[in-house]
Amino acid sequence: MDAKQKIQALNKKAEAVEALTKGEDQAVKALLESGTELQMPVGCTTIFDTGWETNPRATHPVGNCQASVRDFMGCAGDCWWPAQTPDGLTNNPDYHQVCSNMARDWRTIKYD
Amino acid sequence: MKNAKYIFLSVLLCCLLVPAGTVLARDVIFTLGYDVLEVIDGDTDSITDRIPLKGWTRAYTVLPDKKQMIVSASRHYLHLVDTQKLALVKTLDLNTNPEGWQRFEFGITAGADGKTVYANVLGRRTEAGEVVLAKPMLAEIDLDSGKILRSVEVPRGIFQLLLVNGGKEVYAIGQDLYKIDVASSQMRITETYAMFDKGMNIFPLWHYTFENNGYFISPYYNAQGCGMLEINTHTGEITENMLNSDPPFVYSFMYSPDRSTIYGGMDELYKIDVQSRTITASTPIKEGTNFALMVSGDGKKVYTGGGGSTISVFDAETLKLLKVLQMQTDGMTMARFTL
Repeated sequence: MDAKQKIQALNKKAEAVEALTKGEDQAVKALLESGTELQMPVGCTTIFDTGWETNPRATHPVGNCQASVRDFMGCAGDCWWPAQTPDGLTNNPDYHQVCSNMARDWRTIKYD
Repeated sequence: MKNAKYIFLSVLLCCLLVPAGTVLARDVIFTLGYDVLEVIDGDTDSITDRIPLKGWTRAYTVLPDKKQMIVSASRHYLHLVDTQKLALVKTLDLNTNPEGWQRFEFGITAGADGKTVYANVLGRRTEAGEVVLAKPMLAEIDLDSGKILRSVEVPRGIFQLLLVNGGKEVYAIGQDLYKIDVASSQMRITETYAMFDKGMNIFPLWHYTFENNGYFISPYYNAQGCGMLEINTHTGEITENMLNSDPPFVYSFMYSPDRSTIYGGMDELYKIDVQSRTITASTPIKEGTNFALMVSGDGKKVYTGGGGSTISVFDAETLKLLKVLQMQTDGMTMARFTL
């Protein structure tokens, strides 16, 4: 049984996602290839750095790296979260030129 | 009577020298931003200068003369900055090479002779339409020409380098720590200090080894809690110490000048007693998360910043917020020079 088969759709939304993906070709490649060798780029997951995304507190701030606006530029660039933030190593090397201060400039940022 | 004259002159000399010494001990703090370094005067806690440079900055390493530092940006620019004239001297671009490699650095440390910099380099290029990845390497780069003088293959996942033992070795830190002999003509890995298999989850992106007189210290986490990995770069000695408190969530640690206290920061600022290894005080950082912190040269203030565009200044003793500085851009880390 492969990993995909272990996951079972339990509600309508999950079934809808499954329906959408039927017949899809591979669109993205995993950063981890060949089983063990880590490929570019390095990032949170390559160092098994899971702790910072947890919520250790009962009260404010709820979760680490809050507010997210303060963590955005650090996660961009190096591709810590390449799907959610601009990829500064390949596709958006100059993203910061239109948005060097996320709290002030967030309306101007553009990236695919 | 004769002795009284000498005593008077000695007291007069001391009176003249002490204030002069006090005036000279002045902090200059560089904040590494986006297309810019911003300079904070430690006496007034105000922004005094801005040094334009290209790219999103990530790290710095100080040259042995302590008058210049190299600031890495966009993972391929190496900016040489004069820390006294507050000016950009020159920029090396790792992508400029005849072989057509697009190179990125993940970790830099200045060489002992001040003429080279070591970098953990990853490379890629296309061959017949296919992407080819180079083997990761520790490269020694000539600061004059920008050329790679020599290199050695290293494991993937390294993102921090330290020069130790007077420049005879480089410690390369990723999931594990690799000791690399750089004193011989052919660099080579001599030892692997295991961390990953010991359950240590370490993230040493920010460190203040220069400001802490050669002592590197970084948080790590394991199933028991939070620990502190310390490297004495003078001797190469590595020590691990677990905190005797509930784990604080911190990006980095930094010693006070007398090394009796450790400060740690991320969403809160923590104060840790070195002897008991316990948290003695903490306070939320109201501005939000901070990647970096910096203790002033006299140990009286702690700056937290990086991440967002503000720097918070705290009283080091009470952790009372003293001031919030609005910077031009978001930032990554801070470097301190005490003049």
